[in-house]
Parts: sequence; C-alpha cells; structure tokens
Amino acid sequence: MQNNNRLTFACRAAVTAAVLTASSSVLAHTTFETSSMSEGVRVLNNVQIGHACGTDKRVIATSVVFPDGADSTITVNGSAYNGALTDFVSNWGPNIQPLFSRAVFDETDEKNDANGNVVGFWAGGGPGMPNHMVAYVPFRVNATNIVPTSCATSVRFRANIVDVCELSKESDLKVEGNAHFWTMAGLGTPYDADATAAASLTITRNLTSNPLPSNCGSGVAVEVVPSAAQVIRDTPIKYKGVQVWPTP
Amino acid sequence: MNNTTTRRAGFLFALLGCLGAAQVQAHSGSATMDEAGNKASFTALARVTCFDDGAGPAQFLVARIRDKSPAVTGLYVSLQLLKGTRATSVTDLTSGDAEYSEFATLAGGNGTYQLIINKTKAGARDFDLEWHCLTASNDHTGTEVIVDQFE
Repeated sequence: MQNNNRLTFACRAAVTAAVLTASSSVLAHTTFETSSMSEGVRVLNNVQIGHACGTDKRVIATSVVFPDGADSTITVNGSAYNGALTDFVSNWGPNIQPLFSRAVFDETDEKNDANGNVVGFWAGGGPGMPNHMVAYVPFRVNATNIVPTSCATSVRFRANIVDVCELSKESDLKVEGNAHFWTMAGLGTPYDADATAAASLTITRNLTSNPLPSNCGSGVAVEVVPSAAQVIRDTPIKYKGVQVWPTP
Repeated sequence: MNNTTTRRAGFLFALLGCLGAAQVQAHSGSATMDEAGNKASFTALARVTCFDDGAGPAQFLVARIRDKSPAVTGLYVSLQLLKGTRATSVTDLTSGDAEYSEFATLAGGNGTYQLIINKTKAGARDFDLEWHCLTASNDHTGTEVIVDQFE
C-alpha cells in the first residue's frame, strides 16, 4: 500500500511536471523583460530566458541580434517601406549595450558592426540554465528618439534570439535539443523559426513632448526587422575573435 | 577585423570608453584620423544623443578637440556640431600642445546631434575628443553616442 502511494505520488508528480513543462513551453518564450519603453529615456532591461531545450538540457549560451537599421526591413502599418530608418528614428545604432554579469553565464560580449556600434550580444559559459528555471541576461537600451516630423507613434524592433543548449554545427542547429529559436520566420537563414517568435522592443512616441504633426492623423506604427544578411553575419557567437557557435 | 574596421572600432571604443564614467562627467576619447596620411577628406561622423538621465533635460551639447600630432603648416583639425537648423564649430589652432580647443557649444536641448571631425588636408592626426550634454545649469546629463563613419 505504501509502495502504491509512493507510486501514485510519483505518477502525479510526473504528470504535473509534464503539464508544467508543456505550459512553460507554450508561455515561456525568450523575450525582453521590458518590451515597450518611451522615447528619449534609457532603460535597464533583461533577456528573459524561459526554459532550456528539454528536461535534461541546459541553456549554455544565448545570442541576441537587433536590426542594425542599415539594411533592415521596414514596414509602416504593415506595408513595406523603402526609405531609411532615419525617417522615423534619429539615433538608432542600435542603442543596445550588454551589461557584464556572471549571474547566469560566465562570459558576455558585444556583437559589433563595421563602425564598432553594438548590434547585439551574446552570453555563455558556465553550468548553464536548467530547463525548469528562468534566467535574466542584462542589457541597457539607450535613449532612442522618434523624428519629430515623422508620423510614427511607435517603432517596434524585432530582435532574433537563439538559446543554445548544445554546441552544434550549422547543419545540426535544428536537431531537437540543440537550440531554441526565438527568431523571425521566413528570412531564409539557418536561424529562422518555423513561426515568427522574435522578441520585440517597442519605442513609443512621447506625444506630449513630441506631438504628431497635424497631417499625421492618428499616426503610424513602424516595425523594423533584421535583414537575412545581418542575421547570418551577426548570429554566430565569436569568443575572442574565433567562432565557437555554430561550430565550424 | 581588418585594419579599417579596427580603426573604426577603436574610434568608437575610444568614444565609448568613458561612458561608464558618465556619472563623473568624463566623456572623452582618442583616435587617429587618416593613418596613411593621404586622405584630405577623412571625416568622422557620429550622432550624440542628449537626454534626461535624472540630472535634468539637456540644454547644450558641448565638445572640444585636441590635435596631438606635431604641427604641420596648414593642417588643422576641426569639429562641428549640428542639430536641426543650427550648427557651430571649433578648430584646434595649435597642434601638438597640451591644450584643447575652446568648447564648441550648441544649444539644441534633448535629442540627436551630429558631431563631425575633419581636417584641412592630408596627414595623420592623433586627436583627443571630449563631449558632454549639459543641463541649463551646466550639470552633466544623459549622453550617448553612435558612430556612423570614420573614413
């Protein structure tokens, strides 16, 4: 009887764990702690890793890529826009600065464009984050300004995040348990998600200090997505100049 | 990184190097323009964002430059500040000494300024740059930088 009770408890615990795991898989995308912020202010933020790649897996690294604004895809109210990001945002570089912390991973570093501006970052090393935990990887979003003459009421930047659970070759990225892709779908890169799951960071216009021009009506919503070329260039993790993921 | 990228990155890292010390009002950095000494049109372009980091809204962007290379006749380094329809500039008229130029001051409030550094003719120039966003009471306030060009 006692054994039966133990077995029943074990079964219930297993079922509960399975349900919780399934729930967290649905709900716990890797996102940003703060996904919306007003223009003109600097905000401390975190990449919020919701789970690993399975019950016996740990997230050993995360790779974050923001659209650089140079060759990014821009839409306005959902329609393609062929102009420059500077038509809407006067100072996107991007405005990201990773913050060094060993709370989760041992190493953190920037990803830089040709001018040295930060276009993303990675963190990795150490024991990694177990599947049932949540981890925060800190970064700062610098003050971002919406162009006063534009009609933008918000600018949403989509950032690709890949949580790495196993160091694998590019050809094995999608092997179950190797990585989770919180990324755009359909870009045509090895890092594409099956359905878009990229994290969002939205800059909202301060309509008091930066009112819409009178010809703007209710304004427009702008979205910025990294180009395939940038994703391919910036997603790999390089440690001291040598690519360590995907493995060569 | 190739050499060009390294130099560009060096310029940014130099600019960013003191951001961590922003609280003690030190935004400064060093770089070398036109290392090969053959590009009169060499120009650095950056965007400086002034914002209220808690110290108060920005009233001014101020910046000054120091040309550390030995004096060459007719070769001077200048910086310009631009925002909207207003601009100002300053030149270090004595190369190689310990003195900075005067501060260039542009009262543009919060927002995005352009900062340009250029020189009068071909020749490598080591320079120091210092910049600050200040409130109306000259307190240091939020200052960020993005580099668009160093070539």
